[in-house]
Amino acid sequence: MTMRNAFENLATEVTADASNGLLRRILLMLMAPLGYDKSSQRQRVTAAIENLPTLATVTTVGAVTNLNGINGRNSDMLLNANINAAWALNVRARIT
Amino acid sequence: MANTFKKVIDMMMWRQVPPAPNAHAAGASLCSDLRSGLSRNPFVYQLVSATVLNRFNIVTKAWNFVMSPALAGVFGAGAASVFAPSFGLVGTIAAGATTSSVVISTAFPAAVGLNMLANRGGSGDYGFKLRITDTVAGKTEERYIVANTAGTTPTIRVLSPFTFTPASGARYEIVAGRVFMLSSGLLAANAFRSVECATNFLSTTLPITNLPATLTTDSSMVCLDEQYTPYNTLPGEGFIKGAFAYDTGVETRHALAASVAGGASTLTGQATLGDAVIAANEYRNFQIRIVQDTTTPTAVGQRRIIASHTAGPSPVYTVGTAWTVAPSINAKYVIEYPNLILARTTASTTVYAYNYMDATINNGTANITANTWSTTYFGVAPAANAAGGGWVPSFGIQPDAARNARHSVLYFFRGSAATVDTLDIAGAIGGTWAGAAVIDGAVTLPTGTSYAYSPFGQEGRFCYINAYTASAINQIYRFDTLNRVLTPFTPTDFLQAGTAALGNRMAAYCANDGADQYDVVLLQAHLSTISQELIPLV
Repeated sequence: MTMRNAFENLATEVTADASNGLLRRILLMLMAPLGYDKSSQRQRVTAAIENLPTLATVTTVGAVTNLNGINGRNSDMLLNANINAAWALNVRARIT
Repeated sequence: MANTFKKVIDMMMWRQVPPAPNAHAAGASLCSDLRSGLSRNPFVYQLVSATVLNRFNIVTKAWNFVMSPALAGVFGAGAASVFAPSFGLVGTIAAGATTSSVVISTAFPAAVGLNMLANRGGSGDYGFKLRITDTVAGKTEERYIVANTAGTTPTIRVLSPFTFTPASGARYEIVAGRVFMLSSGLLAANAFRSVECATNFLSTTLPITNLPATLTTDSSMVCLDEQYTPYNTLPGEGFIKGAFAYDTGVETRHALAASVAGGASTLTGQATLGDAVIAANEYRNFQIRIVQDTTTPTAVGQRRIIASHTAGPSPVYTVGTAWTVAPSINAKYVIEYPNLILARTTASTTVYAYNYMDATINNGTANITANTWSTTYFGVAPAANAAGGGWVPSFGIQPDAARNARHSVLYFFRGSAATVDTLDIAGAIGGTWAGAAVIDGAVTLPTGTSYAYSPFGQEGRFCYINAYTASAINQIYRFDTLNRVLTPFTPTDFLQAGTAALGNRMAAYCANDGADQYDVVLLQAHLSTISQELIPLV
């Protein structure tokens, strides 16, 4: 059955008010499909992202749960180097 | 003093050290040697499971797998470990010694490799410590090993010569230490084992008799070893530093001097200085050891438990078992811990006391034969232990002038509560428990709480505590064993998290820098491999 035929059938079997209601619901669904956030007027999705292109600007990052590497190096190297440098300044320097 | 830290202005912080090979899991624990001198074992041991024992080199900051201890039972809640420095390798020497070498007669339990005893594995600067007690010369001296032949009865050379030629039959003790490991669940043979650190020998005959049939809840063990001393005395000098230098090797050790010849079961201490200031029975249940007696040489080496003593000056010590040979008026002696491991476990009030010496200890009322657990040597605690509980000794302090704080006091934080009880092992012949001691700043110490008593710096006063609370920023505290104050201490930057799991994840060790000593505290993060060190400077 085509869509046109379906509306023709509806027109013959229900009242005009009912058909208007159905059309309104279809229209609303088309304007705000599932996952559409009306407040932000954006589609929301949860997706597994395998690769990201170069990002021009990242405005806010809520939390980085895991950051394994930076430029091919284990990210612990960066963290530990910072911690050790701070320790050397704040603690080791006080032991002469 | 080399510590230039300015209070309020400067800030302490934890630093990351390389991560442990295995993550912390329920029942896993750290333990370390709490000796303050150069001879301390330079490793922290991590008992991960029934089959994994790792160690952390405190000098090079590197970890490695040691061995599978193959512990029986079901490893988990109730498992624990503790380090004991003394009595790992003991026996007699053969004929043929010189002032710089001895030949072992009583065989080691496992063969050692060529020169293996000349490097303890830390930075390679000193070998293990050899103590010779000679009843011909009437002396006790300790030297660092610089060479050895291979096998179970090696010839051992020492760094600096003895002041005598050790006679055949003299007693040797290689004071390398042992890691004692207790499994959990339904116990069976080899649920309690030790690893000797010089030979890497894994014990096979340690007892479980008198322990609960099934270990659960949580366990905490503390070692009362004769090598553990206050912050300003050396291993071998005991709790009260005397003026008589009885041993002058790399380190000079001092002893107290008798003022009256020993009776059948007595010895009289100094009329001035040294133990002239002690209170009556302050060191009851401690050990008295004769380290030199050139007048009656066969008296040397005797260890006795003090049953009671009068106050100084000239305190009269009455020992639990009569002297085999009464010391002379020229005897030199030290007062030390009695070489026991005390354990609390399985939601019980019992104090389990293990004698890891090679001889019976006897305080005149009760005794514990060698290699045996006792449930009655010390009295029962006011309340059962719970998850997160732990022992905190106070051997590192020097008592205040009024002797309100004493070396004989052990704290026991009950766990899962803010309550701490105290056991004064000298309070009575079976010790005296005091329930719910008043301390300042008490906080609840829940499951996963870890303890590291650090008797080296800061006048030997502090125990560092990780009161584990998932994701809390401030989980670190320290307890002043001299003044009974618990205060928050420098938190870790790394936020510990996860459902609370049992296990003592902290250990402390001594950094020796010339005459200066520093506390170093190691913390393995909860349920993680991440490891951090703290050097408290205030």
